[in-house]
Amino acid sequence: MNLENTKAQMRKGALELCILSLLQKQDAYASDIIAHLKKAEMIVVEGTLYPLLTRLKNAELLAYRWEESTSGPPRKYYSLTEKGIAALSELQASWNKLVEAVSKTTKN
Amino acid sequence: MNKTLNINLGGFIFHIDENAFYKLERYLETLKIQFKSTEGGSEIINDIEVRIAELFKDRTGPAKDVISLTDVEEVIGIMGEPEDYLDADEEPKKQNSHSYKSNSKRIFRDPDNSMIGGVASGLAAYWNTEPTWIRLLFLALMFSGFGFLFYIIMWVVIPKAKTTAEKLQMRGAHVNVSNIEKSIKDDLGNIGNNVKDFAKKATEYDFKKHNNQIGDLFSRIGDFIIESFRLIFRLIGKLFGFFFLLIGFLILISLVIGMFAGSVEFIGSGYGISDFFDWIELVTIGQNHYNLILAGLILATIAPFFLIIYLGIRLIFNLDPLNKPTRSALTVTTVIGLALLITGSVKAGLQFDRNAHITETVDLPSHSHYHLKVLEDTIARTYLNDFSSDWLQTNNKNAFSFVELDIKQAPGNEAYLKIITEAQGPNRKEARKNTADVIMEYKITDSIIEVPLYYLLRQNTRFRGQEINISLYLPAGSSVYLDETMADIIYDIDNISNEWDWDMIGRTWEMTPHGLNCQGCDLPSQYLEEETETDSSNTSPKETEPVQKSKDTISENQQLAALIPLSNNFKITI
Repeated sequence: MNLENTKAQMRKGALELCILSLLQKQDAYASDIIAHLKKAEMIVVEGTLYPLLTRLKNAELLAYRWEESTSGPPRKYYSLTEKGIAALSELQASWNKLVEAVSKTTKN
Repeated sequence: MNKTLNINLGGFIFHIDENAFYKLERYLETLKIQFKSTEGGSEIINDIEVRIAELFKDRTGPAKDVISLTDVEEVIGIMGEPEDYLDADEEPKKQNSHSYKSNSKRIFRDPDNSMIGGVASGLAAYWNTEPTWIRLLFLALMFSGFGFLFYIIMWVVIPKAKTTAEKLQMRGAHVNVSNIEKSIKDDLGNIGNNVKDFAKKATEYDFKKHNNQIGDLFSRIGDFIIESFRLIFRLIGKLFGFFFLLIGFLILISLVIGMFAGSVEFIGSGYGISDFFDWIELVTIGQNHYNLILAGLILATIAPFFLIIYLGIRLIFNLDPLNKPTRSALTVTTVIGLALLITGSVKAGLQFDRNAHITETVDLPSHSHYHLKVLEDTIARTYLNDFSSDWLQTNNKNAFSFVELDIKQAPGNEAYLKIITEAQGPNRKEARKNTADVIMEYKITDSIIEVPLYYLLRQNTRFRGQEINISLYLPAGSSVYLDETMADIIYDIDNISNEWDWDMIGRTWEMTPHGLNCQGCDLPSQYLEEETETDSSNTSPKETEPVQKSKDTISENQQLAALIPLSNNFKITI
């Protein structure tokens, strides 16, 4: 049994929810999302994020647009789609249920 | 001091140390492989590159201009090792992390220092020598004829170094292997190091962590064994590479020499490669048919030949696997080649479909004894002096020793020769025409009969299975001496003393009423009995036998005739 692995799996499961809710507040580009997630200690290495973002985009939960940047080439700004908003509320509800269930079982 | 490179990463320009660049390139290369099959893989790589550029931007400024190895290592630490990129549901692939770490030298063509295709400069870079030496070597090989071909093959097989990473790999920036010999030594050295590492780890383990689980030690032993095997296999692979290259070269050399000099023989056959092509010409219809088969041969042999050399080079130099276009091109050439060969062969085979023959009868002067020998001329002598094959080319003429001789009893009292010339063709008429393409000579001087050992094919005609069957018809009571030279053409001559052909030469044979018998030999016992019988009936057994046979057939016919009337009646009623 590898505890590190389990912890990583837990984080990975909740990662999609975190990304979607971050983007609900405001559109962001990859580095912003990373900065937030790192601060919250949701991710350890940044590499995890890119495949996930692309997967969400391919599932049409996210969309992106190019925006000019003052300090370099254009940046990719991600935003939530209609489908993404629906998915977020569903995930949010299921998360709440999970938290409730987990706290119920762990609190004797 | 460090060499730096300029790179464009995510739209920014960076100066980067050579070793740092190499590490970064490897890292991105590994990610590319990892995301190759993922949907939107190139987009992911692009995003990652942009992010790495940002992280680099944070690490450079007015005071620090160049990205160092430490920076790259830090950034990789932030981004994560390739395994970390995998989705949770995917199994981490061990090979990927391995290919990221391995940094062996590879062979590329060097476009920067090229004279023609960059083959020599590429090889020079690989072996850490001056391209001039390699070029001189190629030039020397050029004079022997196959250097050119070899150059072309290398040109096709070895990829051009396009990216800087490839150029670095070409020079082996990281693995300092100066030549093949050294690389093998290195491999051996690696095995040695592996042993040392293991010994070191094992002792550390024993003294520092001896309260750890025993299983850990076993897993280390396992790793050690696997690693050792890997290195040994690499070494064996290189040896095989040499072997393949050697075979490829030998084929190449013999093909080229054979093509131009015609002196290389197919093992044991007495024929060379140029003879092989002449042979094709002889059995084909015309130039187009010949070209068809030739094209088929060339196309069908390209792929195996290419693969042998490619495999050799690959095993030695660490080349990429064959790419798809090359593989499909090779498949196409092989299939087309085989198709052409089959078409050509069937077409040639049809030329041998039908048989025809012409018969010539030559009366012999009356003698009681004949001397049978081969007409000896230059070509016949070549055949007699241990040329064991049937087809001989001299002065642009094609000679074939498809001549057979038999001795039979003449029905009358005159001796004569019957010469049957056989030939094949697409139809009977053509086959008959082909019999006329044969030139042969025989000579009858008094009682000496000189028969041909071979025939010549008329100029500009093709071989169509022409064959000459000579029969010497001897009346009973006459005899013939078989010269030693007859050994090659006498074929299954019936004789009542039942001698094999090779026992018949150098002796005199007498034609008795029963058949051919060696002179001075007694008649075999079964004939002796018959002789007393026939003496009383005053007819030779030769004559009575067929009579008896015909009697038999008559009685059979009568039996049949007894059955036939029924059906005849039946017919009438209808």
